[in-house]
Amino acid sequence: MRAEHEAEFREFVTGRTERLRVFAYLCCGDWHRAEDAVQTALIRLYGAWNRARKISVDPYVRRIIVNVLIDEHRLSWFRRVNIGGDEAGPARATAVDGQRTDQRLMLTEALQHLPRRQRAAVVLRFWEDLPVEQTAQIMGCSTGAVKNLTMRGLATLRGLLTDSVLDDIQGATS
Amino acid sequence: MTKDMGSVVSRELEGSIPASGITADGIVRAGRRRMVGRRLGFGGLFLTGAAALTAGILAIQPGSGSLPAASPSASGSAEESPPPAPPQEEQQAFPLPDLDWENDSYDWGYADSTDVETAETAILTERLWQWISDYEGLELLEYDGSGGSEPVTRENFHPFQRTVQKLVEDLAPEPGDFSLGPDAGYERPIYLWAGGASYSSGYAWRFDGADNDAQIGVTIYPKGSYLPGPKSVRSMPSTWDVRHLVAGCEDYRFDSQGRTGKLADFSCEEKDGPDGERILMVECVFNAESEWAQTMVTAVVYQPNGNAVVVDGYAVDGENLPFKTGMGPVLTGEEMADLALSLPDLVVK
Repeated sequence: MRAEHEAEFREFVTGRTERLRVFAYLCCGDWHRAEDAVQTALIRLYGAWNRARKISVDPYVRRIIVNVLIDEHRLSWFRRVNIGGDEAGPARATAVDGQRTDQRLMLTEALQHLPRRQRAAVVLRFWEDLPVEQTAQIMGCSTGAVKNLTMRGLATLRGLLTDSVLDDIQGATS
Repeated sequence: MTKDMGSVVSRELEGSIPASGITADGIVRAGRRRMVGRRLGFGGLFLTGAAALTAGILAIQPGSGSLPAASPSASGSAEESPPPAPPQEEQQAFPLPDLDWENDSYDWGYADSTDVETAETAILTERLWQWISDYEGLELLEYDGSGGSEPVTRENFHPFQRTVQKLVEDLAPEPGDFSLGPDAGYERPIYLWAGGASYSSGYAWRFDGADNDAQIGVTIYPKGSYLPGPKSVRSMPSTWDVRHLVAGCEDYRFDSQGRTGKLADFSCEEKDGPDGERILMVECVFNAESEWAQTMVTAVVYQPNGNAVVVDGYAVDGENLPFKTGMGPVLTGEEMADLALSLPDLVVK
C-alpha cells in the first residue's frame, strides 16, 4: 500500500473505530465480540483499502461486520484475533450511574431479544440512519426483506420496551 | 424517529463504553501480516506441490518438445515410478520485431481460432483457482443470462487456454475505424484467462457480499514478447497506451471520439518480488476530469524465465451513470501482483 493510502487508512481507523464498535455492539450485545468483529473487519479492510476507498468505505466495513456477526456460517468458525497482546480484551463497561445502566439494559437488552437479522436491520435503519436500499446492500438481501425484518423487529421491540423508553423513541414503534 | 432512537442509545451508552484495544498501528501491522501470510501460504503450497506437478507434466510428455492440445487427464499415478528427470526445458524467446512503432499502428490478431488447454494451462488454472479460493471473503459468480447468477465452482471455473497471436498492421488507426492490414510477420503463443467466456462477459467478483462485475484478465506472455519499453503495444493516438511501457509515467491529454483533451492520469510503481522478480504496477484513470471515468489497473510480473505475467482489469466509475456507479477495479495493483506472483513460471510454447 502506498504511504498516502496507508495514511488515509490510519485516519479512517482512528476516526471511525469507536462508532463501528458501538454499531457492532448493538448488533451482538457483547463488547468482546464487537471488538473482535471490528478488528477483523478493519484488518480485512486494510487489504482492500485501495478498492474500498473508491466506493464507500463505511458501508463496506459495516458489511464485513454484519457478515462476521450475523452470518451463521461465519459464526461457526468465528475466532478471537488479538493483535494487541492484551488477552483480557477491552475492559468491562462500568456502571457509572445506576439509572443509566438500567436504561441501557432496557433498550440494548431488548435489541438482543431480536433475531440477528432483525436486529441488524433495525440497527442499520434506525441507529445508523441508513435508507432501506443501503441497508439491503449491506445485508445482502432485497429491500422488501429489509422492510419486513424492520417491521417485525419493531413490533417485537414494542412488546419489550418499557413505557419510559417507548416515550423516548417516539414514532419508532408506531 | 431515527434521531430519537440514536439519542436514546447514545445516552444509555455514554460513559459506559469500554476502552478499546484497537489501534491504527495494530491494525496496519495485522493487515500487513495477513497479506504476507496469504502470499507465503500460497508459496508454501506451491513448493510442496511443485515436484508433483512437474512430474505430472513430464509423465504426460516425457522429453517431448510439445504438449497435447487436449486437456490433460490425471496422470502419473502413485504406483508409477517417476520418470527420470530430463533437463529443464528452456523458455524460447519471442523477441518483438523491430518495427516503426512511433509512426505505424499495429494490432494483435489470432493466428488461428482454436484455443486449447494444455498441461501448462491446466496447472495455471489450478493455481488461479487456488488463489481465488484463498482470498478470504471472495466469491465468483457467473451470470446465467436470465438476470440471475450462479456461484462459480472449481468444476465450472473457466480454464486458462493457449492461443497464438499474430501482429498485423492497422491501416486505419483513426478512432472507430479498423482495417486489417498485412501481417507483420510475427507470432507469439500466450496463455490466457479472461475470467469468463470473453473479456467483456466475465464473472462478478463478490467481496464480502458486495458484487463487482468489473472485468479482469490474466495473460502470460513468453520471454521477449512483452517488454517494459516504449511502444511495445500498438500505437494509437486516440486512446491511452499502457504507461508502464513509457518512461516517466507522465499524465497526458489526447483526442478521442471527436472530443479533445481527455486526460489519462497515470500512477506507476515498480519494485522487486520475493525472488527478484521485476514487478510493475500501473493505474490509469482515463477521462479523469469528466463526470465519469474508466480505470485500468495493470500488474506485470517478469518471472525468472523471462515470461511476463500480466494481470489487468478495468472498471467504469461514474456518479451519474445508471450502471456500475461507483464501481472500482476488481483487484488493486498489489493484489494483482500477488496473483501474478502466485503463478508458476512454466514454459509458454
